[in-house]
Amino acid sequence: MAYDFIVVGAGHNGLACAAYLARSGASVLVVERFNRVGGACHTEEATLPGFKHNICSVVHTHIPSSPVYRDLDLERHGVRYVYPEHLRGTVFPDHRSIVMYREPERMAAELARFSTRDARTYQGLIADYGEFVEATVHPLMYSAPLPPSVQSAELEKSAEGNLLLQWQMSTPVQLLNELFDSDEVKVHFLTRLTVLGFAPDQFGLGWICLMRILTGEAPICVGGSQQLAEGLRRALEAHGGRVRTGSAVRRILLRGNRAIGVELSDGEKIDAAKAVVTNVEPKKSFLGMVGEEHLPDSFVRRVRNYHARARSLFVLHLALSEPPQYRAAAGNSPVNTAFSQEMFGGDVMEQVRAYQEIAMGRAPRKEMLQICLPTLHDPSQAPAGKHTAVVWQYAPYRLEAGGPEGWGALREEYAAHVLGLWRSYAPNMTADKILGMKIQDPTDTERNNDNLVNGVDVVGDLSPDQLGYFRPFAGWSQYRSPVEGLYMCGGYCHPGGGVHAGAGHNAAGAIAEDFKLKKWWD
Amino acid sequence: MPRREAKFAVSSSPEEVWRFIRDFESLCTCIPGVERIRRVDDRTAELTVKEKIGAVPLVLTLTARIDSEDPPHRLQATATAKHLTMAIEVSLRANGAVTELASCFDVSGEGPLKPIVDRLFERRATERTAQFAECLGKRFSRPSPLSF
Repeated sequence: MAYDFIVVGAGHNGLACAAYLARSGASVLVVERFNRVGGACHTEEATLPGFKHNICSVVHTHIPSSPVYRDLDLERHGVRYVYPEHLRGTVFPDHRSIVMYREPERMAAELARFSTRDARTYQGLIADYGEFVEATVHPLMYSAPLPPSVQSAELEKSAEGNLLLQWQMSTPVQLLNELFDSDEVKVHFLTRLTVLGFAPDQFGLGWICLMRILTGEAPICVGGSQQLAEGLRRALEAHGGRVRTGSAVRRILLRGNRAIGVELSDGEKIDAAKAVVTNVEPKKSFLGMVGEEHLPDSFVRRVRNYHARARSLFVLHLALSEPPQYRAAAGNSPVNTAFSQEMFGGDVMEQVRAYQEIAMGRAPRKEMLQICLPTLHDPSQAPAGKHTAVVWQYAPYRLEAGGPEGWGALREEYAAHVLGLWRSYAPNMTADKILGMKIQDPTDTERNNDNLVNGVDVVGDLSPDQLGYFRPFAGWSQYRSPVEGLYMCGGYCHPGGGVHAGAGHNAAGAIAEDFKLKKWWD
Repeated sequence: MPRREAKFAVSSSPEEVWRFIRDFESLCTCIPGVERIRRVDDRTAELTVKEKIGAVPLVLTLTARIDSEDPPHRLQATATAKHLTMAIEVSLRANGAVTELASCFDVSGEGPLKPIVDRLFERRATERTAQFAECLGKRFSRPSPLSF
C-alpha cells in the first residue's frame, strides 16, 4: 500500500499536519509506535478507575484561538474547552498571593495590593505593548520563523522598537528588575516563564517575558488532553487519512537522497509517493531512522548539538477526595479555584538558584511547585465529587548521585517531600485525602514520550540558540531537511514545544508549497 | 487577501471630488498616518506611512502608482511597499446633489511578514477607512456612510 505522505508519530503536531494534507486531497498515513495517539496529549486512569489523569499536557493555551482549531473544525470533531474564571494563583511563603486575571483592570488591582507603582507599570505595558503582542504572537507562531534581520529591521526604525530590541536581549530577571519593584510581582511574572521551561537568567528571552506578562489563558480540554488528539484524528480520518498505532518505524527509507517510505520494526515497508514527515525528535529521526551516513556532516553536527538539558519535572498524579484549601485563600479566596496554584518562593533568586541546583543534578528541596486540578473546571475527569490533581516540581533528569537511574532510589522519598511542601500551603491535603497516587519522575516522562528527551517537556530546550529561526537548526528552520521529501513537523521546530500545533500547521504549509497542493486554509 | 470596501456620499460634484483625489498631496491629507509624500510624476508618488501598534510604530515606505483612470468616474492604483501590495479602486457616481464614492482596498502581505501585515490590516482597516471618510467629509461636507 502506498500513500502520498507518511507521518511518523501521532502526537498532536503529526496529526494536525496530516489532517491539513489529507484535506488537500492527499492520501496520508500516520504511523505511531504507541497503542494510542496524542503524544503529550495523553489522558489515562493512572491511579484509580474513573480518575482521568493528564500525563503531560494539561492546558492548551493557544489551541482554541488558533487557526488549527478553526481550519480543522475541531469543535465539530468533539474538541471543547472550558475556561477557569481565575487563571493562576501565585502563593508566597507568607501565604499572601497574587491571582492572575484576564482583565487588565482586575490584574492591575491585584498587583496594586503589593505595589501601586507596579500596577501602574503593568497598565502602561498593556497600553504600550498589549496590542503589539496580541497582533503579532499568533501570526508569528502559525507561520515559518522570521529571519532575525527582518524583525530587527522593522523595529530599528523607531525609538520604541529599539527599546523592544534591547529588552529582547535581556534576561527575564533583568527585565523584571527594570520594570517592577515588588519581589512578589516579579516572582509572579517570572513564574509565567519558568513553567514553560524558559530559564530565569538566560539572556535573549526578554521579549518572551514581556509576552508572558501581557497575555494569559488557561483553556482545559473537556474530558482531558487526550480529547484534542482524538479530535485531530477524527479530522484526519474525515478526509480519508489513516492512523496505524502500535507500529514503530525502524527506518526512513531512501532512494539516493530522497525519502521514499518507512520500514516498520516488523520489517513491513510502506511507500510514500511524495514525502515522509517526522514528528519525532531530531536525534531519533535523523541519527536513528535515517542514519548519519546519509546526511551531510554539517547537518549531523547540528543534530548532535540539539540539546535538552533544562529543567525537567517531577510529577505526582493524585486522586483526591476533596480539593485543596490553601491558607492563602483566607486573604484571597479565588486562589483556591484558579487554574493552578504556584509556589516558587518569595523572590526571583529562588527560581534562579533552583535552576542552578538542577544544572548540578540536585533535586530542589525548596518548593518549585505548580499544582493543577482540572476537575475543578471539568468535573468529567473524575467520579462525582472527587478530583484529580497534578503536582509538578522542577527537577533534574540526571541526578548528581546516580544519574537518571538515581531516581529509582530517590523517588519515594522525594514524593513524600514534595507532598510535605504542598501540605505546608494546603494543610487539608493529608494522606487520607489522597485516594491514589502515581509518581512520574523525569525518566518516566522520557519513557512516556519519545520526544521528551531527558524529561524536558518542551521537546528540546527553549533557549535563544534553539528558538525561532534557529529551531531546530540554523539553516533548517523551514520544516525541510537535507533529505529530499523528508520534512519535520514536531515541537523541536518553530514555534517549539507545548500544545499549540504550530509546527504541524507550518510544516503542512511548507509541504503544500513544495508539492503544489491546494493550500485550502490560506 | 484582506479586503475592505466602503461607500459614502459627499455633497459635491464628481468633478470636484475627482480633482481632490487625483492630487496626491491633497489626497494624502486624508490618508491616516501619512507622514511624508513625494510626487515622482503625474501618476506616481512615494509615501511614508506610520501605523502605531500601541507604542510601537511600523513605518512603511510606499510607492503608489495610478494604473488606469476614467475621469471623473473611476481610478485604479497600486501601492507597493517592502512587505505588502495594496490594490486600490475608487469610483465616483453622481446621485442628485451628492457624489457617491465607492472604494475598495485589497491588501496582500508579502514575504515573511505576510501573516503580520494581513492581521494588522484586518484589525485597522475599518477604523482607517472611517477616518478617511471623515476627512473627506470635512473637506467637502459631512459624508453619509452607505456601507462598510
